[in-house]
Amino acid sequence: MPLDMTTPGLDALLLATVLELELSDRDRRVAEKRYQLIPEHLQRPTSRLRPYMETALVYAQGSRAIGATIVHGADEDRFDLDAILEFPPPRSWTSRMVLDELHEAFQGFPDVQEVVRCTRCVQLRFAFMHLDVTPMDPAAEPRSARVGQIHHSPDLGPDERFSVNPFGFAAWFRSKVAQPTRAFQDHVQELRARMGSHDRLVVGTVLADADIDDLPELVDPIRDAPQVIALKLMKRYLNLRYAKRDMKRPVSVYLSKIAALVPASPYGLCAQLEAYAQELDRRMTVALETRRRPEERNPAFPEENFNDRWPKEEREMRVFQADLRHLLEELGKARRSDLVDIRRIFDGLFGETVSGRAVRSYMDGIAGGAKASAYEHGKGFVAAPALLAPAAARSAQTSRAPAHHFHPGRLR
Amino acid sequence: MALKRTKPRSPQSQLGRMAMRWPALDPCLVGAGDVLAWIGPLRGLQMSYQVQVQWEWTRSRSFPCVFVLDPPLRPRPGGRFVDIPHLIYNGDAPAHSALCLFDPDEGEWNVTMWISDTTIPWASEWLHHYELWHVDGVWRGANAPGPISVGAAQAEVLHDVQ
Repeated sequence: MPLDMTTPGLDALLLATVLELELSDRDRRVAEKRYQLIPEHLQRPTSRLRPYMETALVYAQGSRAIGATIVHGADEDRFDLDAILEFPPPRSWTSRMVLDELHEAFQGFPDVQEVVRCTRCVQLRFAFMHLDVTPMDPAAEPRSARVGQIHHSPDLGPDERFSVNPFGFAAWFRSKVAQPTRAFQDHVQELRARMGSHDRLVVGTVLADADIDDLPELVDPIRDAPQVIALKLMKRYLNLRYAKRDMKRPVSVYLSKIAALVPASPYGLCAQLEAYAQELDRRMTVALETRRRPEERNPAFPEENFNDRWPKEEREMRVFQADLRHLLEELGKARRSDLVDIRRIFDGLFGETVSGRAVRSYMDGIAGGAKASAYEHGKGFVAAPALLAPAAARSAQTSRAPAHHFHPGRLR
Repeated sequence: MALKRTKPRSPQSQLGRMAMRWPALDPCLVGAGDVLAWIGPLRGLQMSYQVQVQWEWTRSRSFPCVFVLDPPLRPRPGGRFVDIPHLIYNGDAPAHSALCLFDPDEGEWNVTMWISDTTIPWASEWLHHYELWHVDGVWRGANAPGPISVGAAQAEVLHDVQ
């Protein structure tokens, strides 16, 4: 039985799992370089988009804008990143033309293996990385910050335009999540350094290593906020659940908004993830009972409905709800399990390779020497006291026991 | 400079301190009242174990022993009880072996100490390392010099004889 809501052991393992999923420092620089190359490439003399690039803006959207990028992992070690390319196309261009022209203009992008024209974006496929570039037409002045229209041009059916504000959403998200405590950040930093995350993104023949190494260190502290960690774990879990399903999965921006709406838990990361799953479950229950699809709006631009593409049918909500309940059940089991069984549970939730590495890194981090070890009053030993309350001001009641050595003997 | 305490802690003071630090551990008297015991939950890595702490408070040289009641101790798959590290091994009933939490040769525990501030956190730490040991057979806690289990000690003796 669990002693209470705190789960320092599980939290340490969940944190190690998240660190296994994230971009390495170098990977982040490679991705950044590719963002930087977008306007450069589109402004080259042979580009038909060149005349419209003078005032163009490129910025991260989606997971990268909110510190929640993780390796996709269901089928390969791949990162999916998103960018907004803000430029005003000629008035005569239809959405189809904007996307077709952008698709054409991206041919020959450094290191790209394939350029794919999608319904709303152009996808640049690199080794271990997909970059979705969504063209956005900035709204007419007077313009609310970064509001614009994106294009929707399916193979079948008419073109459409949607008013959006991804930049505003990212700013709202960042203001909403709780910053991790200093002790928590230091612990994560130390763990990150010890685990030595491996580089996945390989630069090809066009980009030189120097182009990457010269970029400044890009560290976004929001990536270690407890709500963001819970979001990353949820995304990973859902990636694996939906990998073999022929079904649309919940959209990331919807998941992101709800993650930010769940207050930082004073009980740690596992409790954060549970509270998040419970909140999503509650919303699915309400939607199913009232037969009204969720309609989560962009807090920075209420006209934008995050649920315009998911869910379309009741079945999608039921499947998602069942996934959430499975996650909660498994986390509940993990709370009552020893490490051997926790590992088995994590294998099922987050993938065998990742959870295996996470358990190994936790075990490798336990030093063998005699030292005064920390313990939580009324509960027990804590290997990483900094994890006890990642965001709350509450200080857990911990003390240190005198250093000692374990010793074998015989009972007389 | 603070003077080193020499006076033993009384059973009453141990009970009081324990109630403050570990309220879920229920105190009771065992036998003729010469053994003070506490029974309750204690965390390992994550899950909690039901443990019993026993202290023969009337014997001046006794030390508190911790027994794991539930789930009972078990060897690694295919292994033996004697190979569980750092047990005060009970050959008649191995599952009722106590945890060996300190080095007696170094005097790491004495009657001036609080059981609540030493034995109990050490036992929790033992349970944590026991779970890690179950994963890969490596004990990651601090070891006193010498073999880490009765099984390892037996093997050393056997090796010396041969």
